[in-house]
Amino acid sequence: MPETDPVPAQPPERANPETLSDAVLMRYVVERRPGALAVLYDRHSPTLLALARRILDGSSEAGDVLQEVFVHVWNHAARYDPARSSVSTWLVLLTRSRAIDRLRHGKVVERAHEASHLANPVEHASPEGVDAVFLRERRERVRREMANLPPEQRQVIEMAFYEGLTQSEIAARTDLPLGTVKTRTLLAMKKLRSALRAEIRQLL
Amino acid sequence: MINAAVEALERGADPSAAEPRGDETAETLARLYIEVMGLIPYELAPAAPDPEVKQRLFATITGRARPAAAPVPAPAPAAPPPVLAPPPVTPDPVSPAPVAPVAVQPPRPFSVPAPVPVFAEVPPAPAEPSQPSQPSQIIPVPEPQPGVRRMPERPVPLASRRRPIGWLGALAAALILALAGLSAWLYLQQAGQRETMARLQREAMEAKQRETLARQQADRFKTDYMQLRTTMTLVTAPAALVNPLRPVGRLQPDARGALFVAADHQHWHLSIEGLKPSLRGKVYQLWFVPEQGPPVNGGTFLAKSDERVEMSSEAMPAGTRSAMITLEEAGGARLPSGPEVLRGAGMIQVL
Repeated sequence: MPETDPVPAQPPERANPETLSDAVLMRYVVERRPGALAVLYDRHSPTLLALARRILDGSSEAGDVLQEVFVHVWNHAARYDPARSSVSTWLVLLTRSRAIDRLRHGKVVERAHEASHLANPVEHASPEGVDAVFLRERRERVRREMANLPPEQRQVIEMAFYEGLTQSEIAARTDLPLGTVKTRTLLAMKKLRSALRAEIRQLL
Repeated sequence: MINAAVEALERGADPSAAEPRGDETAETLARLYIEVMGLIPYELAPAAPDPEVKQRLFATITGRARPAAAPVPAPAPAAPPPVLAPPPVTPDPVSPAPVAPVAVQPPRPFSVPAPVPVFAEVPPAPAEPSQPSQPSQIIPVPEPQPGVRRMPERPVPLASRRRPIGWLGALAAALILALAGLSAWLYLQQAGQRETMARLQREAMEAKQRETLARQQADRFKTDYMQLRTTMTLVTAPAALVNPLRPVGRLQPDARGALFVAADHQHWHLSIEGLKPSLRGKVYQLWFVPEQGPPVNGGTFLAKSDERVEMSSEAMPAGTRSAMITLEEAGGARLPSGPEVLRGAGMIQVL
């Protein structure tokens, strides 16, 4: 069971919001403080937007997904349970499910051929300095560990995560036995869990 | 356990809202895999969102959080203007009917009240002796006391006995008066000049002090600017290295920092936040950890509450691969001897 951060005595408008953890900010969002949501947005939106664009194949609807996710967070912040996931993971999975939902329901009207009009993803320079360093380090580590996965394992993880395919659908698309897909998924997840232990500890 | 997390993924549901399981170990393991999935998108290059998205988002949520605010009536003036009557109180404060200013009668001229005597209880002063209406009062001369010596009366020279002043004397008197006047005028002129000189000197001193202060302030700004520029150059240089510093043990779990190293491997900038204030007689000390050999002293510093520690320098030992922060006795140590507070994992390339 993760320990809950104590709510600081100072409200967010007095405390330095950069130093507040996601969990503390979420409790301020429950109290309907838009400033706390703004800090969460600034902190996580570059990653969430990149995820939505990746799933939606660069569609400009990724911005709508981002807005939808944070409106959901604002309206249902009390549903967030810190015992079940970190805030960043909750946001990632909310974004993923909404983006995949749009993809499945054919709501995406703009596809890759229109994506050329969009700005290329850029490294988001965070003004916090130290925060940016740790975020950069997290990205480097995740990129490295994902790249270290055997291609066949990486493929099933990407198809499951970014495309929202079930293991049966992956098996059908790749002409692989379902058991093989499951085994590759399990192996990939175990490797990632082992390699990203330090990052996971920070999230917990 | 992985299956539980993957099943949650397949359902497209929010894993944090999954059904709780009875086995705590299983729950913990499933949680670990959920967190792994939460990390996967960090492999993607982050995308800067359009500022319009944020504006739309906050327009939406603040619109729901606070209904459209009714126009607030202008606050009543503290004091009504002298020629306008205050507006009448309207029954609807939200949308008051426009009220035309009503001219009123000019204020009545008021008479100046008689000043209240300060010493009202004091009886009036006796009348002036020169007033003719007052009867003269004869004041009896007291009889001399026995033993008191009276001054002899001098004979008063009669005016008729004075000799008339001659023209020579009048001229001398006029000259004396003129000289006295001239001396007084010169004295006053010199006094005025001395005062003016003193005032000018004071103003010159003040101006010099202001100039010194301004020069010092400009020097400080220049130093700050140079440091900022150095920091910016370090942080944004494409070939810069960064060494994230993480807390060691439970000593200071909220502390963290980063050591930025420029492409020349000489200029560096240290930024640390969350350090507890330095205790009396203790200092924090930075150490550069080389590939081989003992750590090299990088300098000591103090930490203040709620303040970020920022340090820069232009010298770094060759072969430095990491850094660490220890808590040492005042004055620092030649080798790390106190408890380790922060430790760097290793340099990473800044993209």
